[in-house]
Amino acid sequence: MQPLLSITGLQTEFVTHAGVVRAVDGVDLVLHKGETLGVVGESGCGKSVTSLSIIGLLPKGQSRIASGDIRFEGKSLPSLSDAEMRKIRGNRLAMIFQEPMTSLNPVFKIGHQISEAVRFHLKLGKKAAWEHSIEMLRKVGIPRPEQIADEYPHQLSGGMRQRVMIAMAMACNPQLLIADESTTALDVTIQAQILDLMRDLQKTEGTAILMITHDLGVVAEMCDRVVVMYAGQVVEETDVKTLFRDPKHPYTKGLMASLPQLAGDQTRLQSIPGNVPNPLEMPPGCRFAPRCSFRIDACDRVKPELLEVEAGHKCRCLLYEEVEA
Amino acid sequence: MNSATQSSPTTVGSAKIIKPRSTFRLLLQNRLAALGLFFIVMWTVAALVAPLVAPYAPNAPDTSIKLQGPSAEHWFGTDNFGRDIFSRVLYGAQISIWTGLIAVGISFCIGVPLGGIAAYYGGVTGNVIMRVMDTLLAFPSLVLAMAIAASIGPGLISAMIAVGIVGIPEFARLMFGQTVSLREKEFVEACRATGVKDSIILFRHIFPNALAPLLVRATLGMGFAILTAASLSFLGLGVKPPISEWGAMISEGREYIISGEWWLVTFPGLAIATSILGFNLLGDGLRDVLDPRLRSSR
Repeated sequence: MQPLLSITGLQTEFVTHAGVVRAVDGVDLVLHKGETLGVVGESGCGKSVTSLSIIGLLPKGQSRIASGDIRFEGKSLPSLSDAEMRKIRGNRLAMIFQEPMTSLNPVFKIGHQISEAVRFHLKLGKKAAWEHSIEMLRKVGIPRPEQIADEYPHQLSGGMRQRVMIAMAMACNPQLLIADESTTALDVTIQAQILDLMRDLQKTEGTAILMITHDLGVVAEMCDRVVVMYAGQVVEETDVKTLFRDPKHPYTKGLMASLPQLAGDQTRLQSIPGNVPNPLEMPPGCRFAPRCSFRIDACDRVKPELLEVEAGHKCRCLLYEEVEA
Repeated sequence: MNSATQSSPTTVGSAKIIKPRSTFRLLLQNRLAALGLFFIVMWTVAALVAPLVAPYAPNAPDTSIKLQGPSAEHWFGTDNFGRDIFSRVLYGAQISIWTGLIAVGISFCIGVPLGGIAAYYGGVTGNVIMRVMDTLLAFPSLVLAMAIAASIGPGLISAMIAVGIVGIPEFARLMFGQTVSLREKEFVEACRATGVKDSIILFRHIFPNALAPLLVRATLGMGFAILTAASLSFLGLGVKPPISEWGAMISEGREYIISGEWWLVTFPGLAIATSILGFNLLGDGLRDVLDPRLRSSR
C-alpha cells in the first residue's frame, strides 16, 4: 500500500548571519493511513522544522528545503505552488500548535475562526459553515457548543482552547494531523483528556497523526511507531513497544534512563551530560559521540548509517554496524 | 488605565475593543477624555446645525456694520466686510471637520495598507516603502503640506489632500510596528496552517488586532489635520475667500489685531484651539482605555 506521507532524505537549511545551518539533515519518514507516528527528541533536534517543512510554513527567505522530497497522497509537496499548497493545508493536512492560549485570534469569535477554514476548503455558505463549526465543537467534547461558538477565545480555559484548536484542525476532515507539542502547555489531567480525544477522533475519522513531542509518556500512550531524532537526524526508528523494551541507540537509552522511575531506590533523575551540538560545528563522526557513554574510537571519525538492526528496527550507531560487519 | 483595571478586575486580559459600550463607559470616567468628547460633540453639532441656527448668512457682506465688537445682535462681532463672525465660525466647523475627516481618511487608507504590506511581506518592497516613509517624515510637516498644496494648486480639496499625504508616514510606521509583532504570533501561524491567504491574514486577522493604537492615532491625527489645514488657509494655500474657514478667518483678521478689533481672530482661534484640544484629549483617553487590552493580549 502506498504510504500517506513519505519523506525521503529531507534536508532543511536556515540561512543565518553565521552561515547556513542545516536544521534537518537527511530525514526519512513513512506514515500510513490511520497510523500514529511519534517524533521524539530534545529541543533543537529538528522535530518542529520537519513538521514545518511538511506543511510548508518555514519562514520565507530565511530557510529552504535544500534536498529531499515530501510526498503526501502521491503529491510532492515542496514542488507545489503557494496556491496549491493552501488548498492542502487545513484541508487534507492540518496542524495543531503548542500554545493554545495564543493560537486563537483574540478579536474573533470561536465559531468565526473555525468557519473560516470550512468556508474556504469545503465551499460552504456562511450559515452552513457556522453549523459545521458547532458540530465540530460538539465532536471535540465542548459543552454548550452553540454558546461557545459565539464566545471569544479569552472566555475559554486552556484545555477548552486546545479542544477548539483540534476542532479547527479536524473541521475539514484531514488525512494527516500534525500535532506539534500540542499537549505540552497543558496540565496533566487536561493533557490526558486531549490525548483521549485525539485517539477517539483518529478512530472515528481514520486520520493519521504525526505526534511531535519530547514527552516519552505521550509517545507510550499514543503512538504506533516512533522516530527518535538527534541533531537533525533520525537515530532510531521502531514500533513503540520495542522502543521501550529494547532501545538500541545510546541516545534513546539515555532518554529512557532519564525518565523518573516509580520502582527502585533512585533518588535523583538521570540526565545525559552535555548539550545538543551547535549545528554550525557538527562533530565529524557520530553527532552523539561527544555525549555518548558507549563511545568507541571510530565514533569520532566515521559517520554512522541508519541501518536495520532487527526486523522493523532501525538504528544509527557504529556499535551495531560492527556487529553486522 | 487605572480606571480600566479598577472597574473590571476580572476581565483584565480580555478583548475590550469588542465591547464598545464598556470602552465608552471607561472613557467617560476619564474626565479629560470626557471634556475632549464634549468639545468634539459640540463642534460636530455646530457643523450639522449651522444652516439652522446661524443668525446670518456667513458670506453676506454688509459694510454698514463692519468691524463691530461683540453685541447682542452679533455675538462674536463682525469682520471687515460686516459679516457675522458667529455664523462664520459655525459654518467654519463644517469645513474643519470635513477637512479633518478626509485628511485623516486619506492618511489612514494609504498609510495602514502600506505599513502592513511592508511589514508582512518585508524584503525589498518593505524596505522601499518604509524608506520612502522615512523620507516623508524627515520633512517638517507644515513645509511638506505647503509644498504639496502649492504644487496641486491652492484650494480646499488640495489642502485636504496635502494634509492627508503628510499624515501617511505616521500611520504606515504605526501599522508597520504592529504588524511586525503580530506577524510572529501563533494565531497568525495557525491561520496560515489552515490555508488562509496572506492578504486575508493581513487584513482580516492582523489589522483588527492593530486597530486600537491606529484609532488612537487617527483621533490625534484629526487635531493635527485641522490645525495644518487651518495653517495652510492662513498662508493662503487653503480655502479661497469668501468661504468661512477658521484658519482663513484668522489670516484675514490678523491686520486688525493691532488696531484693536481683537474679535476677528480670537473667536476662530478659540474654535481651532478647542476642537484640537478635544481631539487630543479624546485620543489620550482612548489610548489609556484601550491599552490594558493591548498589553495583556500577548
